Amino acid sequence: MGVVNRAQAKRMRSGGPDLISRLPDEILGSIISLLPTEQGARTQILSSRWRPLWRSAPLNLEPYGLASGINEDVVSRILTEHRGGARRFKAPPHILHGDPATLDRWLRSPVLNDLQELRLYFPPFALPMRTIPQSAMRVSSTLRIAHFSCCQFAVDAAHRLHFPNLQLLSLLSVSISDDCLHAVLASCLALDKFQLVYCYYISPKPLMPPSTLRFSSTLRVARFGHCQFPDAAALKVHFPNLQYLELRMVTVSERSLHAMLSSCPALNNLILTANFGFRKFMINSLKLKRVEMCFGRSDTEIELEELIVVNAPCLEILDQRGPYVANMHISIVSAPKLKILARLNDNTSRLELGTTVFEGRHAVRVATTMRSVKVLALKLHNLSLHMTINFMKCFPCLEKLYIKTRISTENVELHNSLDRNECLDFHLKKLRIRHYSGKRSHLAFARFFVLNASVLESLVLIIDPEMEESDSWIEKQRRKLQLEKRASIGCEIKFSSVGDSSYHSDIQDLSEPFE
Amino acid sequence: MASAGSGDEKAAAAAMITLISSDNEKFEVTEATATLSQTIRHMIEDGCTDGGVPLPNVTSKILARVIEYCKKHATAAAGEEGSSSSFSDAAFLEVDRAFLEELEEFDDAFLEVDRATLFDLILAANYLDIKGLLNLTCQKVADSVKGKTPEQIREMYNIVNDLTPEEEAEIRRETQWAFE
Repeated sequence: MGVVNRAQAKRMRSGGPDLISRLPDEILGSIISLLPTEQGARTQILSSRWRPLWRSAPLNLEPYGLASGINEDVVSRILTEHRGGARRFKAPPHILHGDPATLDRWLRSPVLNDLQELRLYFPPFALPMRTIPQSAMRVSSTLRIAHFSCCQFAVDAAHRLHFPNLQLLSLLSVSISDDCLHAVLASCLALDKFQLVYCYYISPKPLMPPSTLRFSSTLRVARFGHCQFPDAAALKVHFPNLQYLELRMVTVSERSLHAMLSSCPALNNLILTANFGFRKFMINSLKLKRVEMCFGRSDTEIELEELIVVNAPCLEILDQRGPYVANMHISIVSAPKLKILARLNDNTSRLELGTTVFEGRHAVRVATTMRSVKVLALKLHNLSLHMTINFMKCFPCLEKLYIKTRISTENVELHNSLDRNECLDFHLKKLRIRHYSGKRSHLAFARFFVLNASVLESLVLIIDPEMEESDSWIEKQRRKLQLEKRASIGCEIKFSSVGDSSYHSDIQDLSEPFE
Repeated sequence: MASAGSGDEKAAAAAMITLISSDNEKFEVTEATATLSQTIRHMIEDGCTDGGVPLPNVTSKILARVIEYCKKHATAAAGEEGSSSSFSDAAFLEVDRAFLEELEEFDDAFLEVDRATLFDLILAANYLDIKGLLNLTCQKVADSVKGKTPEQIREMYNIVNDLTPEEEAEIRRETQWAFE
């Protein structure tokens, strides 16, 4: 064992004692089970002390990523040979595309007896849709986390569905009967997070059964998708503790949407993605901090035309992408804490911010100022300095301004008044212009900020990668921007072809709640 | 959550518990702080804490740190001790967001210790059955080895490889998929 002695001698010289191996097997096992599957298994080769640990540690079977060498055979072998229990079994589509009997056999493995987390991601677009095997219900009573996607529940499965310890239930792109759904939810005693997104190709969109919406006082996070909320269901909603609600491709009437939201008194995050059925949406909430809206288009359904923030004393982030309808009307009556406002659009037919009114690209009246707003994102088809300055008057404490514009815009309306502008003099630190073309109008726009923004720290002009502008082009641009006369000496001016500068970086990303 | 916690703490203010380290140092803590340890909770329930709780497996240096952790987490713990989801939720659930962020910062700073101390904390958390602290410290160790090769891990933790080349080959053969 000369090798060992040499190794030992080397450790003594370089490191010190092997402290980690002092920990009891059980703890080393917990640490191993926190590692990705392959890496957990590789700890066997560390030393003789470590060799038996992986096989008796709680199994974390998560063959994820394209590089994973874990195929169906390996999963079968691991489940047969493993001697510890299992903590997590996460099966992605490439593991589940084969014979349904294989999955059934896996789920019957004794090693999964006390499984805590089961995630089955069936291959999308498989026809017929795969059915969740009965054997999955064998482990359902210990599960805390269950995810099933791209699959269906057997119609007669209702009486077998029982998930008493479930905290997170995620049903993504599924087909499930009302009876089954009712049975699942009735068996959950303390559900914390619930996602139900029906399969998108079920047409017409399924009706959300009223029982789904009434059941839970424990629920804090919910996402519903690809369904219709009939008034009868929506009016019965009661989610006293719901804090996060996302509706995705949902059809709901104006009356129902508002009734539903007013039955969620604790709600602070609302995400609306491509929903239809309501023409007007009014935000009237004492708790909401963040509202994200993304409008979709439909030839057959009612689209949103009017967004009114009536009273939202806690609202900090209002991120609405769109509108895609030309006759959109946006009004913010009261949102005293609003910090991030995205994205205002120059084809909004009427924009009211308190008593300030914009119609199309024209400011009818600039009266109310919103001093709380620090970050503003604009989508300007026509890069108008005049309009931008009006926005700066309206949001005098603005620190970051993100502008997305069209590539070929000419005839910028040059601003000729040099009134003192609080935003330019004291606050504006960052300006990003996306799709900067360098043409006269764009250049004049950017130069205005170079020459007048006294505390600007960073100006990034993002050029489209296909323009492939040369170094000499950039040199020429820099000259024309009159950088030597810049108002803020310390300002960094950058040309970039990378679209990394989005206002989204200012919004703390919501982590995916169902992961 | 926080208000309920501080309420509990106030209620328990009268009930102080004395913890005695292996080197005979005494620590006075509130019951709310002490009962983050399931081990101590059971002792309190059994009524055997009069005259102090001797903890022969924990030195004063480590016990002081463990108490620091428990004090900080006692308010958060009311109701849902060891809820591992609370941190990941902080990003989108607003309940005590500032508090959770502060707690997270505290935990990060708390884990800035040398390896010997980290392992001592793990052993103490295990012995005292403090789920949150055990999860936190084990996660720290797991994170430190994530993405590392076996040789790098040995190097890092001074693990002596006493396997023969034949044994190594056997492990690689048995779990070939892990070494590809």
